[in-house]
Formats: sequence, C-alpha cells, structure tokens
Amino acid sequence: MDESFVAGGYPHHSMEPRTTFAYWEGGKCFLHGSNQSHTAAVPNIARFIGIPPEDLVFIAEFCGGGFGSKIPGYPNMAIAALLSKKIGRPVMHRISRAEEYAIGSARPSFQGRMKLGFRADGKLLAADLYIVQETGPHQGAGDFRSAGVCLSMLYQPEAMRYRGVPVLTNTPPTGPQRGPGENQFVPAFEPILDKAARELGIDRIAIRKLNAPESSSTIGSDRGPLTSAFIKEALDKGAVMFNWDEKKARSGQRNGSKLTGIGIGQGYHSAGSNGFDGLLRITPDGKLHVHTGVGNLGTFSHSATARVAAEILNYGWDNTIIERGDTRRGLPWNSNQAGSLTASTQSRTMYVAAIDMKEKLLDIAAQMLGGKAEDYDLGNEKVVGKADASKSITYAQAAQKAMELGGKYAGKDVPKDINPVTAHGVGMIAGTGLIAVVKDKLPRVGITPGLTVSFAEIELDTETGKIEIKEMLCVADCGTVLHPQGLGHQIQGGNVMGIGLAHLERHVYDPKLGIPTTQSIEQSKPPTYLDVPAQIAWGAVDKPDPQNPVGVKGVGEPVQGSGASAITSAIADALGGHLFNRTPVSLDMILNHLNKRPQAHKPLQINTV
Amino acid sequence: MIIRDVMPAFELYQPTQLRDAFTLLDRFGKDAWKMAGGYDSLSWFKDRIKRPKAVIDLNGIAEMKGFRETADGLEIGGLTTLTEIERNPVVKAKYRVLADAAAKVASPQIRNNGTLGGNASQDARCLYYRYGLPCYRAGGNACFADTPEGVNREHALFDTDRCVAVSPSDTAPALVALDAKFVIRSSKGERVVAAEEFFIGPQIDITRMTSTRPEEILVAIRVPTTFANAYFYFEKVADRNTWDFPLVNVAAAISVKNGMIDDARIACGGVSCVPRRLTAVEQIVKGKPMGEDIAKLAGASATRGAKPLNYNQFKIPLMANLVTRAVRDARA
Repeated sequence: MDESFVAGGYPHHSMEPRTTFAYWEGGKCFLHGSNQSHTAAVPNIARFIGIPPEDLVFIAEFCGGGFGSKIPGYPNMAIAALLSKKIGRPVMHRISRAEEYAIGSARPSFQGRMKLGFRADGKLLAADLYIVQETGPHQGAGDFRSAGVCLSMLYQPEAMRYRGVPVLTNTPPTGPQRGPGENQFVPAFEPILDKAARELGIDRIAIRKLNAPESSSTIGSDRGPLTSAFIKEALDKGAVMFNWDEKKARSGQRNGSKLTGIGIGQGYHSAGSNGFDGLLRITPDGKLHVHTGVGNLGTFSHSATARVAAEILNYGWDNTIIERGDTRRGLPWNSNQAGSLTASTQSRTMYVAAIDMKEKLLDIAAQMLGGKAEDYDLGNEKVVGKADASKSITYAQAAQKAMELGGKYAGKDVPKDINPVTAHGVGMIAGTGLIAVVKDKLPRVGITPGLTVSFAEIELDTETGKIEIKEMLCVADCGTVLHPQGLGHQIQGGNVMGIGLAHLERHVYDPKLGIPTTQSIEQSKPPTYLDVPAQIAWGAVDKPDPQNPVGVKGVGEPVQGSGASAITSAIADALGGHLFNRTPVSLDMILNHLNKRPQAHKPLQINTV
Repeated sequence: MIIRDVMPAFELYQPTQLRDAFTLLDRFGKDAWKMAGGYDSLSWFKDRIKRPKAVIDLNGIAEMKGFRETADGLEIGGLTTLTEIERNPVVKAKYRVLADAAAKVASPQIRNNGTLGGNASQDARCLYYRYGLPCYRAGGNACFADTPEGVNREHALFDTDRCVAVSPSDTAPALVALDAKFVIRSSKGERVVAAEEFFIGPQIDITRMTSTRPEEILVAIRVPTTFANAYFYFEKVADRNTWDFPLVNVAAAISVKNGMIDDARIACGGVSCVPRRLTAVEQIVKGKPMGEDIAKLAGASATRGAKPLNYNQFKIPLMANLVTRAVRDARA
C-alpha cells in the first residue's frame, strides 16, 4: 500500500478562555489563572513573572478545558502580574473568544505519506512513514514523532522507518492537543488497514489482533519495553459488546438513500510517569488531608487518585479532605495534568505517601503503647494491636503525638530528595499534624501505554453527504479501573471529541491573506449534542498494569483517536472502502466523491474545509 | 480588529411604541442600530466591527409581537420568537413549512429569543465579512472570498455581483414558498412588499440584505391563505445538526389536486444572496403527477445556471438532491 494523507489541524478552543487575575501582597504575587496543571506550572509561571517560585501564590481550582493548550503555564499569564506590580492594583487580563483562536494554540496539521507491506496473512512486515507538520510561527509540538511511535506501537511492524519535517507556517501557534500526533495518525491509518484486510480477505478485527502489541512487545527506534498491553483483549471484549459478527454483515447495506458503515478504530498514548512527591497529613481532629498538586482539567481525577491513600489507610471517605487548587494549602510537586498521566502517576504518589503514613502511624503507636511497630496494624481509623485489639490509639491521637514529637512526624524534617516545591508546601503545614511526605521511587521500566478500541455504526446519506452515528462503543485497556464513573466520562468525552476530529472540526485559513476565518466555536464546529449518539457505550479490560501499585494506567488521550478512527473507518466502509485519506471528512468531500466530481482542495492542501 | 469581545459604548433606547422608535430612527439616522433578538447585533458589537452610537431595542413594542388571524391569512409580528412560531397551532396546522423552518434555526436557546423578523433579515455570514475585512458589503472595494485562493465553501452558486455571500436564513425560503408579504413602516408610512422585493441582492444594494431602509422597521409578516394546508417540505443541510447555518436548505409549498401538482412555490437558501425562488422548477412541476419522476426532473432543473466557486461545487448535487426530495417527499 502506498497512500498519502492529510490530517487537518484545529483549535483547542477550550470553553474557558485563559483569563488571569493578579495582585501583590506582602511581597508575594497572588495569581488566579486558567491552567490544566497546578504545582507543575508554578516554576514556569514564576519564571515568566521573574520571581522565585516560593513568592508565587497560584490559585487554580478549576479549569474549563485545556486539551493540552494550558499544560505548564503560558507566558501571557505574566501580563496581569506585571501590570499589577506596576500600578499597585489588582489586574485582570481577559482573553476573548476570538483571541483564543490567535494565541490559544491548535493541533498541527499533517501532510503525510505511508508505504506499508503486508504478508498474505495480514501481518505488517514493513512500514515507511513520512510526515510534514504545520507548526505555526514557533517550534510547535513534536506530533510527527508521536505519530511514528504510534505506528510502531499499535501495529508492530517488523521493520519500519519514519521521518518528519516540522515546517514554520503563517498560522497561529500550534501545540499539543489531546493525543498529539497519535490522534492525527490513526484516523488516516485505520481505514487503510481496513483496505489491506479487504484485499487480503481477512476479518478487520483479526488483522488488528494479528498486528496488536502484547505486554512483551517493544516500540520505537530504541525498541523500548512496555509495562503492559492488553489491546487484544479490548478488541475481543469490544467485538462481543458491539456484536461485531452481526454488525459487519451490514457493511454497505442500502436503505433508501442511506448506506450503513461499520468502523473500528484504535488509539494509543503513553499514559504514566513517575518520580513525583506524595504528601498526606492527619490533623488532631482525626481527618486525613490529601495534599495534591495535580490540576483539575475537569476530570476530578484528583479525587479518584486521592482515594488510593484513603483506602490504604482504612479511612472513611467522609473523613478525607482533599487539599488542592491553592498553593497556600501546602501542596506537593506533582505531574502536569496532561499526557494521560494523572491516574497512573498520581496513584503512585498517593500509594508511597500512604505507605509512609502507615509506617509513621505504626511507629507512633509503638512509642505510645509499647512494643514494636510490626506489632500493630491499621484498623478503622485506629492503630490496633495485632495480638491485643484493646491496645489502640485513634488517628487523632497519633496526630496529636506527632505534633509533640516534631521531626519527621510533623513535617519538620523532610526527605532530601523531594522537590523544592514540595519542601515549600510542607513548610506551610509543618507542625499541624502527622505528616507523610515522600518521593515516588517505585520502579517503572518501559512505556506505560493507554490503549483503546472504538466501534461505530453509521448511516451515510448519499443525497446530502451527512453521516448519522447510530451506535458507538469504546473499550479501554487502562489497567485496573480506578473510578468507573470518571472513566466512563473520560471515554465518552474523548469519543465525542473524536467525532469532531473525524468529520466536523476545522481551522480555515485563507492561504493568500494568512488570516483565520474561523474565530468562534460556531465557525469551528465542534460536535453538538445532536451530532453525537445519545449513548456511547463503554467497557474496560480491567487487567492490572504490573508496574503500578494499584494496577492503573491512564486513558485520556487514546479515546479520542480510537473514536475518530472508528468514524473514518465507518465512512470508508459505507462507501465500499473508498479512502479519503483526509480529516475532517466533511460532507462536501463525500458529495463530491459520490457525484464523481473532483475534490475542491488541492492534493495535500490543509486548512481548507 | 485584534481587540474583541468588549462592546464599545452606545446609548441604549428601549421604546414601547412604534412611533417613538421611528422618532429615534429619524433622530439618529445612520448612527442608529435596530435590535430585535440581539444575537446578530451583539456578535457585531462584541467583535467591535459595528459601532453604532444609539441602539434601539425594539423588544418593548408589544404591537410587533404575536399572531393575528385575518381573512387573508395570518399576520405574524416581526418580534415573534422562533420558538413561538415553531409551537403555534395555526402555523403548525396550516403553514407547517414555516414551523419546520423555524425549528431548524440555530439552537433552542437562540430560538427562544431570536425573532422571525430578525431571522429573515439577518446579515451575511461570509467568514471574510465577519472577520471585519473592508469588502464590498462592508463599504470597501474588494471581495476577499471570490479570489483564486479564496475559501468559499459556504458561498453562492447564483447571481453573484462583486459579493458572493449567501442568505443564511432558514425561515426566509419558507416565507418565499408561502408567498409571504413583508409589512415595513417608517414615520412616513407603511409599505407592503412581496418576498421577491423584500430580499435584495448586491445588484440593488450591496450593503444590505433586505429592502428595509435604515429609517424603516419590518413590523410584521403576512402569510396568505394561498398555500394553507398545502403539501409542505423543509430540509436544512448543515455541517452540524444544531447551532449551524445552512449549506443549502429548501422549502416547498405544493398544492395537490387529485394527485396532480396544481401549484408550487419552491425556494432554496444558502445558494445566492437572496433565498432563491426556483420559478423554472415550479413551472416544470405544475400539472404533473406527484412522484419520483417529476421529483428527479425538478432536482436536475434546479441547478441550471449555477456557477461554482473554488470550494462550493458540492452545493450543486446537494441542491439538486434537496429539491428532488422536496418534490418527492412533500406531505400535507
């Protein structure tokens, strides 16, 4: 197979524009800003303002969408702070909706070509991928690299080469957007894989399983290992839930002016990191305070991961308080809320901090009641003697004792290897209870892949070019399910965004004038309620990742890629395997194809729809 | 151009009587802006492209709201909301094509406030014009959409003259199909015009979409009984199923007697600067039996004379297919 393709870029256009509010008090800068990450952004924002990180009070409890455009703080956050310092009064800097389309970042477009060689049984033997990436006026993101890794990961070619060239363009800045690189690539690749399956006479799920990674697989140019991969299981589970064998018989069936299309798509993004700090505190009222520096992009994964600490410590959820969103609350150095990282990375820090807390609780019980730490265990918010349950102290009593003991128990002495941001945070709460603070040094070897599979049934109206999504399903390999409701929302939301990528969302530029003619949500056309199915079913393999203490992997990004590619796969299927090799597949392209008219765009032209 | 989303200051007037509104229009002349539902107005203001000195909010004028059945048909106040039209029992029973069209405008929230007069009179949505470029329609001397590189997927197939923008209204083709009359008043008096005169192209005035002059107000729209209880069809094709403008829409009112088409009015939006009445198609279908054959002929005839731009040739089969459907699938 030798196919060229175009993946259209489009704006992040988060619902919440990036407003910043700042004032100065006591030599510190107080800054409220719209950001995906929290403590991970503090050093960057402080640098933009020109102050030490400890002089920045950063308040960011909620973020109304970022999709990768608000990961580590951004330079214009400093404007309100600098103006406020100059005039000695609070300053708010608002970015309007239209301005979001100028500085709010966008997914970069791809112009690509891929050559693929398959064995007669469907095994991908060789792949050659070449991508030219639109980057805007600055360096942009490394999407083209991620696309190559994605090919290496999802389809495991026996031999491959990939090359990419980022090109500066007269368009607004681009940056990472949900699944950067992977999610431009798979909607192009999956229909091509379908074509290979058709030409070789192989079932479309079978060709995916044949080429799918396993936990023992390796990826990338350095053939790096994986922590786990269960996408074959996801394909099997999805086939059953979607009723694949019955559905595929409907491929291309005509009902009046409408054709049925059945699609499958896969998605991948690395979904875990390590090396961040955990911080927990039990106060003398017996409450567990989970200090988390991770942001809140709308997933509320700060709570889902905090539960790990509460469960290890046998804490009732009602007695657990999550301290977050304001650096005055004493927050640790945690990962960016980006890159599908939070669930896996933050569950590790919660785990190591909870183990540290447990050891300190047992220690204090031994000091108060006699014996050794190993003579005790954790009960229902109590430390209880193993041999004599009448010997116990409450967590509240332990916290009181820790304040008397001081030192490592009260946060006065902290490990040398924690991040300075964490040390600063601990300093704010030292002496107020029993404190556990520790860096995540649990081993992790290899990439932690988040993997998903989406299925879609569509009806394509040959008279209007419109598609209607009749049914959609997504199954995730995200390790142990951490929070079913949160996972369901993540999967459904990602698939909705994938629907937009596949056939609706756009970033139109006049090539001569270099101006965007899409400067509003109405003009850029993300999907509305009536463009998505009323229900998007979901499932999970629910097999633990062996390198996460609670088995968790992330899943935020691949769900969009699999959703988008299930739609492009279904459109191709409805049209008898026709490849547009282009996203978004807008209705004008479908109509031109059906009416044997040439497409309006030039070959490989971008920013046109 | 760069600074947006902050409305420039203006004086707000909220008259409750039409005569007061006319006094204000006469006083402020070209500095006045008439506002009904406000969706188009506020977008212009917030983009800082239109900067009127005086905004005259018409919403307090009670006589411009609601429905009045007359011997000749139904008079609908210009300020009647699209939701009210969608739900009105008389419109639904006798003039369903208008209810169906109103139900497809924008989104439910916008329809709750957006008015029939405002929707029919709305300005062009050309992306270049909305960006604020000094095009012909904006009073300049260029068109930025109709260039060798211009991005003009949403633009016109017919009757372009310097400007290639289209009528973006969903209710306008329905009003054309129903042969509606537009009641326009000013301090000087009242005039009632047919749809063909109400909607104007760039040949007549390139800066306006309707014949309503700055000192005038579209106070009501009269729907005659000509096509009451006829066969109707409305369909809108847009990229999205809500909160979007039509790429092409079609409205048809067809009188059928004994299975034969006795009379028909058919119009398409999104293909020219005005809702395009398809008089040739109407002539072809009259006297013919309803059915697939005449529907196909109607569709094939609808696009004769179309001159596609760089990106909009897909509208030709789309328009043909929609007209085919309208003739084939119109129902009482």
